[in-house]
Amino acid sequence: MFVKQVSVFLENKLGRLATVTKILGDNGIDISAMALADTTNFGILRMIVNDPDKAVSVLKEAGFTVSTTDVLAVEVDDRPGGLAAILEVLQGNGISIEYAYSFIKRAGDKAFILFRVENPERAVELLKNTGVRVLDEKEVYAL
Amino acid sequence: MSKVLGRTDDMLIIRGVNVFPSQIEHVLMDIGGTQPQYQLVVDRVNNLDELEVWVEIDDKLFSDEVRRLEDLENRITREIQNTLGINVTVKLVEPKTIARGDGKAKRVIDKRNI
Repeated sequence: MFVKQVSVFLENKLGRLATVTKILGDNGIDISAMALADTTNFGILRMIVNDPDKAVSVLKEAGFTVSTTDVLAVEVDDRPGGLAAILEVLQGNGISIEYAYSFIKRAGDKAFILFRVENPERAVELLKNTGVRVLDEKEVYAL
Repeated sequence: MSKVLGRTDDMLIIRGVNVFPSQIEHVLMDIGGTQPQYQLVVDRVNNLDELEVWVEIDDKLFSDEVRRLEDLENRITREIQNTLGINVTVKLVEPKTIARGDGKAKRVIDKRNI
């Protein structure tokens, strides 16, 4: 039920993000979601791609520090209050969110949001019980 | 005997304090388990010596959470300061940032003109 996110350590230097995206592009890897967390000295690039294992190996080969993390991909109604309804379920059950970001693509009246939560198994169970659709790996990589 | 080229122990004198790179190595070893690649950059800013410690982030040290990396940066800073007794700035850098020479690693870049 989890999706593999690729995380890359980036120094705060001109052109680092461009280099990563170029490498992925040259290897035919498609990015479907990304978020960049930045501090004064460094940044962490988080991405969902169609082939995480390949992304990790080509980036490592290029000398980057890369890791994968399990995140949740959740379907959200694309209307005011759609995201709030989901967050209410998590909050109501005491599940903290480390970070969240959204997919670039959407389908119909649905948007997709990625969550990194402290207790992913429990979060999936709670969301499913409330009728929220959690996407599986195959669906996400095909987005 | 050939001309003296440098100290074998790379000792630095920063603000009057003797600093051995091996002291910093020990701190990094304790924190990281294995010893990460590092480099010391010394400069003189407003007539005062400044020491920067660059540490390469390898797979073992990396986390996708900003908080954890910041904690790591702070912990390295604190422990080096406690060991050396002087202020340092720690910078986390990407792998392969630090030049690897043949034989003796170039651990110290001294930009002071003394």
